[in-house]
Amino acid sequence: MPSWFALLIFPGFLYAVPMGWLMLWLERKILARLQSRIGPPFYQPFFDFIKLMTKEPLRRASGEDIFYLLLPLLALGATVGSLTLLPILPSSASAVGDLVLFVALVEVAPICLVLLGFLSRSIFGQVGAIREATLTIATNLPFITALIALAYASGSLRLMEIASNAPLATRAIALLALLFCLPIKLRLNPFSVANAEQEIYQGALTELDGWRLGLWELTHAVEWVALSGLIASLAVPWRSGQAILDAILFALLSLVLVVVLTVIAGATARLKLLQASRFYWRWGFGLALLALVVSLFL
Amino acid sequence: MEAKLSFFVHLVRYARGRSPWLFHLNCGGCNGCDIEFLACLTPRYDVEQLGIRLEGSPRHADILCVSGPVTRNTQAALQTIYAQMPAPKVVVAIGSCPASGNVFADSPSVVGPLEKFIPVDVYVPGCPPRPNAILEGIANAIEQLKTKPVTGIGGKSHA
Amino acid sequence: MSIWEILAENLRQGVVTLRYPQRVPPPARYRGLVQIELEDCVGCASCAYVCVSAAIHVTEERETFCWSYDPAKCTFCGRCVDACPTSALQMQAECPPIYHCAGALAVTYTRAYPRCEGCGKPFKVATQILRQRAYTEVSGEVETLLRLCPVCRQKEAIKSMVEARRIKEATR
Repeated sequence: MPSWFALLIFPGFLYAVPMGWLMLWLERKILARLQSRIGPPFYQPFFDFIKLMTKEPLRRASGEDIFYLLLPLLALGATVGSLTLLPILPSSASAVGDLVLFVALVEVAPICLVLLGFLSRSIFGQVGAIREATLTIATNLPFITALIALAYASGSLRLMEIASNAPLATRAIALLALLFCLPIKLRLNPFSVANAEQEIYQGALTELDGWRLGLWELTHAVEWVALSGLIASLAVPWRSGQAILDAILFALLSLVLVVVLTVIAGATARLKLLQASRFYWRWGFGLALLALVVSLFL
Repeated sequence: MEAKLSFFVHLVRYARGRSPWLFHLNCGGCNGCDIEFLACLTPRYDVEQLGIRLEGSPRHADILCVSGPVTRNTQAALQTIYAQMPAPKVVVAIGSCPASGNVFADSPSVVGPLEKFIPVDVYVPGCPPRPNAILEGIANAIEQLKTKPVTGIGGKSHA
Repeated sequence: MSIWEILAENLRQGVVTLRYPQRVPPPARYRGLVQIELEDCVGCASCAYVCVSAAIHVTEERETFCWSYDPAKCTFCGRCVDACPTSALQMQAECPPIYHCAGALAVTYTRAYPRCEGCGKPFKVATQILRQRAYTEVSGEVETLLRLCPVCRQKEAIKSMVEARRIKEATR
C-alpha cells in the first residue's frame, strides 16, 4: 500500500475528517441523551465547519494571520501524519509506523494550541495556554511510560509489532493507562480546565474567530480519530488480512472508545489544575509504572 | 461557474441556519430574562436541537442575545462585544428592558434603549418572555442570519 | 443517588425535549398583551396612573381622548387591569408576538366623548358598569339624567326642584 494512500485516503484525510466529525457529533449526542435532551442533528459538525469557514474574519494585526493559518495547519498535518503510522492494516505501509515518531507527531497539536493561546495576547488565552502546557506535561509522564512498557514488552519500537506481540497482562494495564490519558489530551471533562468555557472562555481559543476557529475545530476532530485510534489499533492483536474488515473493526473500536470517554465526561465535573495534575502523577503514572514493572518481570 | 457558485451560496446559507452559535450578554437586567434564557438550555427546551451552542467568547458567536436595559457601566462592554463578533451577526433583544428600559427607564444610571448603541434585529417582548418565545425569537434571528450576504473563505464576497 | 444512577434514570426516561415548533400553551391566567374594550372605557386614566413603567398614556382633548399602550415598555404586571373601574382592560392569555422594529406593537386608540343630549357639548359619560355600581337600581329617570352633561344635569335637577315646589305651593 503506497504511503500517499495512507495519508490521503485511509486512515488519512478522507477517513479521518468525516470520522472526526462523526465522533464530535456522537460526543454531543450521547451527552445530550445522558441528560434526556434531544441533542444536535447528525450533520452538525459539518455545518459548523462550513459556517465557521465562511464567516467574515475580523481584522487582526498584520503578520498575525500567517500564524493563525500555519499553526492549525501544522497541527492538522501532524495529527493526520500520526494517524498514518497506526498499525491498522497488516500491510507493509503501516509497518513503518514508529512509536517515537508517533509520539512526536501527536504532541504537535497541544504545542500549537499553547502557541495560539500566547499569540492571542488575551489574558484568557494565556491562562488557557498555561493550563494546557501544565496538563500536557502531567499527562505525558504516564502516556510515555505506558508506551515504553508496551515497547519493552514486545521488544520493538514499531507499532505493528507492538500491536501483534505485546503480552496480554502488560497490554491490558498499559492500554488502561493510555485510556486514562485520553480525556486530558482531548480536553474532556473532568480534565477540561484548559478550555473551560465558563471560567476562561475556552482558554486558548478565546480570540479565534471565523476560519481561524474552523481550522482548529477540524484539527480537534482529527485528534479524536488519532488518539482513540491509537488505543483501538493496539487493543486487538488479531488482523484478518482483509483490509476492509480490519478497517471496519478499527472504526467500530474507536467509536466504542468515544462512547466510553463521553460517558465518563458526562458523569464528572471539572477538576482544578492541581487536582488534575496530581491525579495523573499519582494514579496515571502509578498505573503506567505497574505496566512497566509487569513488562520487566513477565 | 454560475451554478457552482449558487450551490456554494446555498450550502453556506443552509449551514448558517443549522449552526447559529449564541453569545448571551446581560446589560444590567434583573436576571429574570437570564433565568428564562437558561431554561432554553434545559432538557425540556434544548436549543441544541437547532444546532445552537452557547459560546463563551463573542468571537465565536453569530447571534448576540441581550437582556437588561443598557446601564452606564455595561454600555462600553456592549459595544466592544458587538464589535468583536465577526459578520454575519444578528442581535436579539430579550424582554422589555432592551427595547425601552422598562421600569428602569429615565434612571440616571440607565443609558438605553439598546438600539441607541447597536442595531437590533429581533425583539422578544415579555417581562420575562417564556422560553418558548425566546426560542421563537432565536429561530427568527436564524432566518435573518440566512439572508445576510455570503462571503467565501477569507471574506471574499460571492453574493 | 449517585451520578451513574441519575444518568441511567435519564437514559431510561428517554428524550423529554419538545421538538422546536411544538410548544406548551401558556396557562389560562397568563398575563400577555393588554387589550382594551373601547366601548367600556370612560377615559378616567386610572390605568395610566397605576402603570409602573409608563407603558400606558391617556391624553385628553376637548372632544376626544387617546388611550395609547406600548408593549415594549410593559412589565405585564396587570395593575392596570385591576385598577380599571369599568373592566375595559384585559390581558391576552398568549405570548406577545416577536417583532422586528422598535415600537412595532405600540397601539393608540382615539375615542370621541359622547355628546350631551341637552346642549350638544362632549362630556365624560358613565358606562353601564359604573351606573350599576353607583345606583344598584337604574331607573328610567336616572338613565335620562345620565345622558346629559353635568351642567345640563344640574339645570335639569334645579328645574325639577322648582317644578316640584311650584306644584307643592299650588296644592296648598
